[in-house]
Amino acid sequence: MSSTIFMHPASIFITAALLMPLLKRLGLQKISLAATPLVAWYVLGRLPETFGVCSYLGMELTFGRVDQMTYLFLHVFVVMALIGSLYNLHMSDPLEHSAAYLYVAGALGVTLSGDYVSLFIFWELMAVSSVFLIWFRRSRRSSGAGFRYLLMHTFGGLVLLAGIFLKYQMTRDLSFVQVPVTAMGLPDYLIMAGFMLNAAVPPLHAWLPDAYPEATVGGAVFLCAFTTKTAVYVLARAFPGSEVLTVLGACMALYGVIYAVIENDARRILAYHIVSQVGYMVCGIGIGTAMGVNGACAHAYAHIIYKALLFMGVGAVLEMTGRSKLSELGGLWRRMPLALVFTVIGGVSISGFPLTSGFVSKSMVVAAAGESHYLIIFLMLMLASVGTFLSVGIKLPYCIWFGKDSGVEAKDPPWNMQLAMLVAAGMCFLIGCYPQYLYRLLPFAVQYEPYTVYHLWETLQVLACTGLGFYLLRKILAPKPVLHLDLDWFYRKGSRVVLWLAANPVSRINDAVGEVYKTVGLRSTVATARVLSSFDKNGIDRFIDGSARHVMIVGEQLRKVQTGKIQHYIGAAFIFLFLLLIAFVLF
Amino acid sequence: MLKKVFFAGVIILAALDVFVPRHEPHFAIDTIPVFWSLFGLVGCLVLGLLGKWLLSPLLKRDEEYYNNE
Repeated sequence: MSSTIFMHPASIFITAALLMPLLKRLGLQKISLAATPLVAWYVLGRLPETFGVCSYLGMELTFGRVDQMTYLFLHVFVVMALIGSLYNLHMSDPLEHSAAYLYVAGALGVTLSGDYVSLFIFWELMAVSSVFLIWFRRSRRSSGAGFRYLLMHTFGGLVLLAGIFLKYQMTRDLSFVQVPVTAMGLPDYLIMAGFMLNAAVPPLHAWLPDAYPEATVGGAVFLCAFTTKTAVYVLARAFPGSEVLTVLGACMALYGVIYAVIENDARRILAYHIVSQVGYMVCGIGIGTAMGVNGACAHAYAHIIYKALLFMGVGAVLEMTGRSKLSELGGLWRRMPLALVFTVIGGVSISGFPLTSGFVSKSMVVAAAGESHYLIIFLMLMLASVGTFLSVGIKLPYCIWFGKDSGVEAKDPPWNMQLAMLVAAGMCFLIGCYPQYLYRLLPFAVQYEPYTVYHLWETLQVLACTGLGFYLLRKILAPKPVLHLDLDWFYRKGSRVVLWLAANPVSRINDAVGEVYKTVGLRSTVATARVLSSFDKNGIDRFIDGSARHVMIVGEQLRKVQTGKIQHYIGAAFIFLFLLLIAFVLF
Repeated sequence: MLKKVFFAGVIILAALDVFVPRHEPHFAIDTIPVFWSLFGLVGCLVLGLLGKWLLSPLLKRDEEYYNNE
């Protein structure tokens, strides 16, 4: 056990996170930021199939369970940790790096867990460490958003825990394995709901577009990669083939896209696109065929890279200009050309252009819907991909880098941010041009060829005509500086209902209780006081007076025994001490 | 100039769709020529107008909506 626990990739990140303040003082922060993911990468290739098995409170815990699906997610998480670390390399605060690494450790731990108990531990580590990536923005908005994020994830964690408890009570088995669709019970639905909250499945999604845009520039790059994708992993592991996931996935793909079309804040647009893209993955899991699950995993891999690239590009603009609202930006192409190029590469990847990663991953999920003859689902996913290109592929770069010149001073970001974006952009093309790189990591054997004439033609037509549509709608789609309500309204304004309840009914009840106390309570208090006062007079006073009288008598006697001889005094003192001792012993 | 190239591209893509072979189509729509061009255009207009003309007016609030507490 002790030898294998250090093999756990999470332990590498946890160690680095804990040592980060010290490493900073030693001037080793930058080296360790680059080295930690590389060490984890080295360990990753050498993981045994099972490790870290221990027994705790009569339960068998498995901290390491590695198979093809685990390996794919570990692979992309470590790559992402490297890209994110590079992007954040210039930031001096060691605590922000610590939070990011604990968060990565949580994601790796969840992915490796072979049972629900160790999964839950890492699940909560993820929630608690990631909230600091929001709070470190150190603004009033981010502090509020962070608290709401934490509360939602605590709620999700509790639902998951309730499911785990019930499962243990009913089956005495907490191993984290696939649940047959026909054998789903209440515990499984609770666990699924807990997972869905992290996957941002509507109606449990509002925390994501609420919190991510308020995170730090570098924090958002980490946030967009891990929480939702670990949730995709656990859903794919436990609940492939659940029809509810197919329907919800397709709905969320469209839901995110429609919000993204009307939103103004660039990072909120990207956040809604996480909801939308994770929708494809959830849908693929719901379809449940080898193609569907493969598609979900492939899309998770590709999505982590291009979504991080998009958050890095827009984050670079925020870092250099202090702005992220489309209505306040424009005309930056001359001042931040590299950020433009990288963001557009992210944009065409998410839209599924041929030769980019989205083309070879998203199409697997869509093809899975086609193979299973879900026509409506198929069309919903295609429509979502139209909206994706419309809002992220065209509108977002157009409004930031072209359009009306905002006159904002800016220049391209530091070298490390550019390098991180270059690595991510390179991977988007690598996966797109050489899909075997991704396909050989997938859990099932791949019988899918993305580059067919029909698929190419279909994609190009859809994209070209979406471009035409944007051209026609460009005036209508102009960004407006407004806020759009989402389901977080219920708990953000709901807190007002609680306040109103506290101010009105609760305080009225309080007043009524006060009134009752005045009439009933006061009378009884007066009666009690009378009893107490008579006890005071007759009991305590008499006793005190009595003792005073005694003191006087004793004084008189003392006066008599004052002989002036020292031996008498000493003797008297001894007798007094002796009597005092007896008094203490007796009373 | 750029605009003309783009429009020409859209038209060429749609026109050549008639000649593109269909391998084992899953749905009837896969066999309709120019379907995906129309889908892209109509889908884009529907999403854009649905969002901007229906949802946004219903859901939009002042940016300080949640801060005035």
